[in-house]
Amino acid sequence: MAYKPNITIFCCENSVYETVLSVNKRHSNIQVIKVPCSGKISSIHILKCFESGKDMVMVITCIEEACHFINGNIRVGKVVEATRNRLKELDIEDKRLQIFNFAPNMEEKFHRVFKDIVLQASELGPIYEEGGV
Amino acid sequence: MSILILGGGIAGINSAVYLGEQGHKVTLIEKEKELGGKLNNLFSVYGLDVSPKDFVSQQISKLKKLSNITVFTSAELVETKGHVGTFNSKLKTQNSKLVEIKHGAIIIATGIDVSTPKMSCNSQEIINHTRLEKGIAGSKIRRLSKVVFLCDLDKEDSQIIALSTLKNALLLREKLRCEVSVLSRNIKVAGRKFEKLYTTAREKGVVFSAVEGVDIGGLQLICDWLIIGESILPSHGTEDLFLILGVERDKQGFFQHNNVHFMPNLSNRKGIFFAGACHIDAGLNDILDDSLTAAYAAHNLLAKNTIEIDEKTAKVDEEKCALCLTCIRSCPHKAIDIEFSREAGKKAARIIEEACFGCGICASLCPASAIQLREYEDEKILKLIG
Repeated sequence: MAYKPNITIFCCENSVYETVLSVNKRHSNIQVIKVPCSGKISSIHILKCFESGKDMVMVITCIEEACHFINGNIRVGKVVEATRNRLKELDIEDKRLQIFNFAPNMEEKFHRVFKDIVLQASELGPIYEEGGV
Repeated sequence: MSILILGGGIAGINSAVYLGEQGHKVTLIEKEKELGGKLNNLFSVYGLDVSPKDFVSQQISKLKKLSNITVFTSAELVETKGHVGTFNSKLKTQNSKLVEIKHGAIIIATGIDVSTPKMSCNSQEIINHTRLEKGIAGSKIRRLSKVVFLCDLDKEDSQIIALSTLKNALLLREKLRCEVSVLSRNIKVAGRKFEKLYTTAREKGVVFSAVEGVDIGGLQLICDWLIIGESILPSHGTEDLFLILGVERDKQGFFQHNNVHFMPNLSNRKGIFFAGACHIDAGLNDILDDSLTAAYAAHNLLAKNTIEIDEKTAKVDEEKCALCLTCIRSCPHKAIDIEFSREAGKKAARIIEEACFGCGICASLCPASAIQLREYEDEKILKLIG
């Protein structure tokens, strides 16, 4: 049986949140965390996810120039970039953290991207070796 | 409640008249000596039965009838402090007198400036639209036999210039019976009745031809006048206003981002609205509508005399605040101040709740975790993560 990766999705409530929730209902291994703006996400939240054994973290933010709070999506881009560098330091593949820009009506594209993410996560495998901490 | 309107062009006047009729105390400031703005220089506007000057003076007389409107000409904004509902501004009026006013909202209607692209042509001199309008108004035009309008030179012309081209082409054709041709990449008209303007111009005999990439230096046109459109620039006070008020601009330097959530009139700060040509590229009809929309928004905000506060705003733990100013730099809505806190016994950041949108950007960036967003506290999120 294929490996079922644990994925955390940070989702801006102004982006494709409804669709992300529907995915959450169907898969028990997907966790969704709602934020008022993706600018609310900080490095510590993302790193805590990996610490608690999540294999993949997805950050979903609004498309550029359509942020409800002007530059929240640009800020989170910088946070993700910095966190990726930190992951490299820790010898964790930086592919495990990905950011996507979606408008609220881009459901189909989200499903396509999500399928791809699950595939990538299963290829990468669990973040810690079995028996490890 | 009182409202400050920046700019005494048609958009500012129109907003002021509406708000004055609703019983608000309005202060209108204009940096030139006269009210009216760009409309004073025009000879005619399509869709307007009277001349633009008369139209403006009608509006100004309406404005002067209202006793709750104060007008300052040759004045400018020097400083603004405070937030929605409690703005406190200093104005420099005539003779450099400083006037201090308190107001609840600001409408920015500063309009545009125009500049003529620098280019030369071998065969004849180049005339811009402003000079053409003045020429028609002064009726000093000698007999013309052929006039050429050149459009979309380096980039596509703005809507105002496109409209002006169509209107003036038709005017010259009808009034002086001369041959008029319009050379452009693409004719696009957006707005009420403007398609009709184009078809009428064609019917009357204005010749439209499509051209691409004209090298104007080597151009040999046999005509009396070569008319080109100006490029539209933000009004030259825009830079100062950006610093004084902290409102965002788009890439071209005009006010308001191209962001759906702030359309049509909102700015990144609560209580500041945009009206007119400083943020949209449109003809007179649309400018009038837009200025009314801004006035409605200001009226909506202030009519109840109370400002509703969102529940999900950020809060500061004053004890933890180290005054690093990260939050002040990062807040997109300028909703954070530094103030002395009695509880902590020191200076600390303070969230102005009425101006806060509740995005949580300050909370995520605060290095001391002194700022938390209500209902999205760090503890709560970390608990969810597990």
